[in-house]
Amino acid sequence: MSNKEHIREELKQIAPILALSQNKAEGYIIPDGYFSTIEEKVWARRLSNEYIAPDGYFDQMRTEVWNKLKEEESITDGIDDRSNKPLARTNSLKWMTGIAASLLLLIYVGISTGDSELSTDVSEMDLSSEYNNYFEDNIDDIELDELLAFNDEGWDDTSDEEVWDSGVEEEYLEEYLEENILLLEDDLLTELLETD
Amino acid sequence: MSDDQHIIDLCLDPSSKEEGFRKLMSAYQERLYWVIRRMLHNHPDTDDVLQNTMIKAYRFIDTFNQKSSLHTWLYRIATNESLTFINKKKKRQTLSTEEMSEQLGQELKADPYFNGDDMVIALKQAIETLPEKQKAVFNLRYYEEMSYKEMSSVLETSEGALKASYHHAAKKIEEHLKNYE
Repeated sequence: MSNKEHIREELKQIAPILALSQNKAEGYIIPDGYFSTIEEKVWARRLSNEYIAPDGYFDQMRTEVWNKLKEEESITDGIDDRSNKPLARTNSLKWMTGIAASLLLLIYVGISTGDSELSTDVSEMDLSSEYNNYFEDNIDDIELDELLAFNDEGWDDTSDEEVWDSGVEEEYLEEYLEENILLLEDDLLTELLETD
Repeated sequence: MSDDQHIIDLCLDPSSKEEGFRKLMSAYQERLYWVIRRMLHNHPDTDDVLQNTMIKAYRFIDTFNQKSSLHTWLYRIATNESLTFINKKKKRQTLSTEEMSEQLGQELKADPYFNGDDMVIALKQAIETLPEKQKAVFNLRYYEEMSYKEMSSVLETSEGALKASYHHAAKKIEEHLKNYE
């Protein structure tokens, strides 16, 4: 029995009324000449709709995007976390921190000597290694006010004025300003010069 | 070499792709037209879906891995395109199955490209009550007289499931026709 005969026999068994209608004309009409024109219609649509990505485009694109991301990541790694802040502000903070650290040393020397004589070489000062290490590791995170409030006893609430009044020698201050004049901002420089 | 293999070879060679595709269309356009028309019933929708089917075949012929026959592969595209079209159309409508069947009867009677008698319309209306996938199963077996094995490849469904689906569809349609008589 052929496949078609088998299908018809199967249908007779399941649905005899339906089997009578099989192979009967379906009633669908096709417009005249339809099949002689469809080929050209499809061919024209093929041309007008043919957006084809070049071979290997998506593989290449993926690699390029990945490389760009890595490149951007390496640049970002080299920038401080606060890189989204204006550059001038970042530089300003670094300068202020440097100044603060220097002032801290001066204050420490002033306080530890207990008088107005400043004959001690800064390099020979006996700062605790614990503080040194702490400053080195956290210098960017410490607020300027906190640095200024630091003395050999640790952190305290001493005001700026009290610090200035604690006896920094004018001679030493001038020496410091000469050495660091280029690092100081105008406002701070003016303030320091007017201090006496 | 079979005609299908010759068509495939022509399509896969960039220098003869156009010739191959035109041969493919000549060989299959009418067969695919009927597969689609039986799903969609009217000529304009069938024309749309047939064109989409052919364009898809052209674009993806390079990926045709020849695990199935060209004939089966094209039928699969045509069936899937028809089902997609029907689903999109259904989303725009809120008719029940019975209402859709009724509407189909009215549309066929008014269609200048349809001249079937009442019995044929009743059959089409009965088929319309089937779920879409089952409609495709029924059409491929009843009109195309396709084997379950081939249908399995077209519809990517097991032969057992197809057999059960066809039997169920045939019985359901039979009931409709009994009521019509």
